[in-house]
Amino acid sequence: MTNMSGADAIIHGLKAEGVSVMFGIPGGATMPLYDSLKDSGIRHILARHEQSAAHMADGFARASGKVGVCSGTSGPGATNLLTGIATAYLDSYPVVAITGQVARPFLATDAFQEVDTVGIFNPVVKYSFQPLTAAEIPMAIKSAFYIASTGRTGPVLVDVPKDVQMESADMDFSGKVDIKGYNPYIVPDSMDVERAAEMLLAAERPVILLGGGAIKANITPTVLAMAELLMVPVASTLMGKGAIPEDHFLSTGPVGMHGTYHANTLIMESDLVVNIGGRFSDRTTMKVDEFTKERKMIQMDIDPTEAGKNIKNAHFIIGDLSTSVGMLYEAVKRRVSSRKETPWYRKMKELKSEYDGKVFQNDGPFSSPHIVKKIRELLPADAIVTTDVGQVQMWGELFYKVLKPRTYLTSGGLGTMGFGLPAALGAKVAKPDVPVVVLAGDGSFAMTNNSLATSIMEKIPVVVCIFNNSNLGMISQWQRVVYGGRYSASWLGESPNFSKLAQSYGAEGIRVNSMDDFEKSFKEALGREVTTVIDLEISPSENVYPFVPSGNSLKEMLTK
Amino acid sequence: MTGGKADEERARVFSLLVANKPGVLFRITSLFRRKNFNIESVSVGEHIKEDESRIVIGLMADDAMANIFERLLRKQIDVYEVRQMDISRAALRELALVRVRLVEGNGVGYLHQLCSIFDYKVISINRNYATVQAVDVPSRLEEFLAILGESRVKDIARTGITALEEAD
Ligand SMILES: Cc1ncc(C[n+]2csc(CCOP(=O)(O)OP(=O)(O)O)c2C)c(N)n1
Repeated sequence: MTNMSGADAIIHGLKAEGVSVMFGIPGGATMPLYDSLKDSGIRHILARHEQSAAHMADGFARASGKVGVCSGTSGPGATNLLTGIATAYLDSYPVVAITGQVARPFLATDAFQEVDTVGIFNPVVKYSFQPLTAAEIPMAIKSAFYIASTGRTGPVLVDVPKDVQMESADMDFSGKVDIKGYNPYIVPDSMDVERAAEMLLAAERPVILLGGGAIKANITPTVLAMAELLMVPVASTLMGKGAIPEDHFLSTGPVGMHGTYHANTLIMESDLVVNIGGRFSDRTTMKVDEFTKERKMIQMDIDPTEAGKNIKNAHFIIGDLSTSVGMLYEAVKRRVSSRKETPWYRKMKELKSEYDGKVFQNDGPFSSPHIVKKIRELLPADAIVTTDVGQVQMWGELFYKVLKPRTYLTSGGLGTMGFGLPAALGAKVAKPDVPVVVLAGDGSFAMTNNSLATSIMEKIPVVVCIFNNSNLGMISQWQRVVYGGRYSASWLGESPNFSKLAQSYGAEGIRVNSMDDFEKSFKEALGREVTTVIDLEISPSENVYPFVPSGNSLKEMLTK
Repeated sequence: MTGGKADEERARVFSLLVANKPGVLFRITSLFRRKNFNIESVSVGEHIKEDESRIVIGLMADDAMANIFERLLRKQIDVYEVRQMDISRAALRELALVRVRLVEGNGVGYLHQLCSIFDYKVISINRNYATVQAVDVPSRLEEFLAILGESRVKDIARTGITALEEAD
């Protein structure tokens, strides 16, 4: 037992969890915390908006597999964090958010900067803590990290009233986390696995579908070995992109609203889908009756409540994927030693040779699909790409081949514009030695570009490629394709001048409108110790294809 | 659960075992909010161990909706156990306190008779009002109130149903 203040206990607890960096903005209700933070050895990265602080922590978590930590003060600090925390929640990434709260006597009095943070965050966190005595802090911090990082990972809130931060207590850091009702370690049922192996071997046209869980569980080698043994095509969801290298001969790339033509076609012709760590989201399955019709489903997930959520008829295997997929591979191996090319495999090969990387709407050499391909060409395999939301995200989904897990960070579940830059900064902090590139939209970038200040001040160099179409491009695409060309509030105009904006922050800024210029400035940017913003002047009339409009089945792709 | 078509709304009773601490009821009821759903009744009380509570929730729902709630409830860390009760195999009761206006003519005597038929109890009385304690299944309680008539009921406090499944 050591006597210390609540704020010191928070810092002590963070260090005990191995935290080396925290993203945030201080305020009245976190003054004690920030006082303890100073000289603590934990690096604090000052954001310019708490939403960005949360995205940074999230990007850090996505790139590293560790828990990201962010902080905001009570009231507006907390509400600003919310979007970033919801983003992490919907993609199930572990973030611990520490918020200040008004002092205990002021709770529920509409005191200055008081909101019911726990209440507001409730639906978008895995759990929350509000220690009301300083002595509760060590266990709250420990439990927060434990819950965030185990089972289906996700964000956890710790809301600490200011006077609790200031209160001294004898702190016990030796306690073991024991949360009744929370058992994240569920052993897969071997009978379920055997049955799945039989289904898999009985199938003539199976597809393995990798979701975000497949990345979190580090199962790339097992999945590859199993797929190669059976010669099964491997697709992914947007969140599972990169769970196996997308240049692998069995990879089809993502399925879904903006999946590849061959992946969507194959999955709709399959007779079995083995979904590993995906939740059959509406953006993946599209019209769900069609998706489930005439094919069997196996669903492997760590979260038991996923069973029957979006798809009723799946054979469900619960448990940590690293265990369950390992078991499945063993069960498959026992039944087959080698397998030849099947007609199904040949079908995949044919489709792939026709559609892999195919640009359905070609807007010339300096258009988004070609730029994205160029970026891939110029980046090493372990480079990290983050994206904003909109067309640019879908160009990335379709044309950027991810070669390693945790190198393609995108807000899939919440679709949060402005995720790209702050997430990139978090990722770069986690992986300082690899290049980090943002596929930014001009609309999205405008939401969080103040993070450039963080990037300069904290010396976190990234390369931002703004696909500047002077539009909320995805909105204008829908209006063009689905709403008969009635553009409504999708034109952004030509303000600001992004290269000048970047320069005013102290970053490099350049505007380009040809592939040669782009290639040159991109290469220079990669070699630079400071963030570069490349403003790419692209056509406002580009469309992302293929595109499955809502209500359609995956078969009904628009390609023009 | 008993019979009925899957897409038919019917009375459901969820019995939960949860952590007995602040915020838990809020987390649980906010799950129903997500579907903009009206819970008919909730009763909460300490369970055998004092760090646990039993929550009994009554609602009308079809199978799909009931399954959504069951899944959302199971996802909660503070919810230790979720059961959709088989109503036909459960002891199911509600407590109501009814303040009855005494009127001249058929006042105390009438009320007393009625209560003895229903097996309810008059627990306090003065010149103008009597308070009746009723422990019953909701349908019989409704019947009691109907017989009494709206004009004679001055006030009422109902706990909502609580329930315990029969043990084998
Ligand atoms: C915070 C937020 N607000 C609104 C939306 C709706 N939305 C989805 S895509 C999009 C347009 C994005 O424009 P931009 O960032 O320029 O990317 P582009 O589609 O042009 O590539 C909008 C407004 C969103 N996803 N997130």
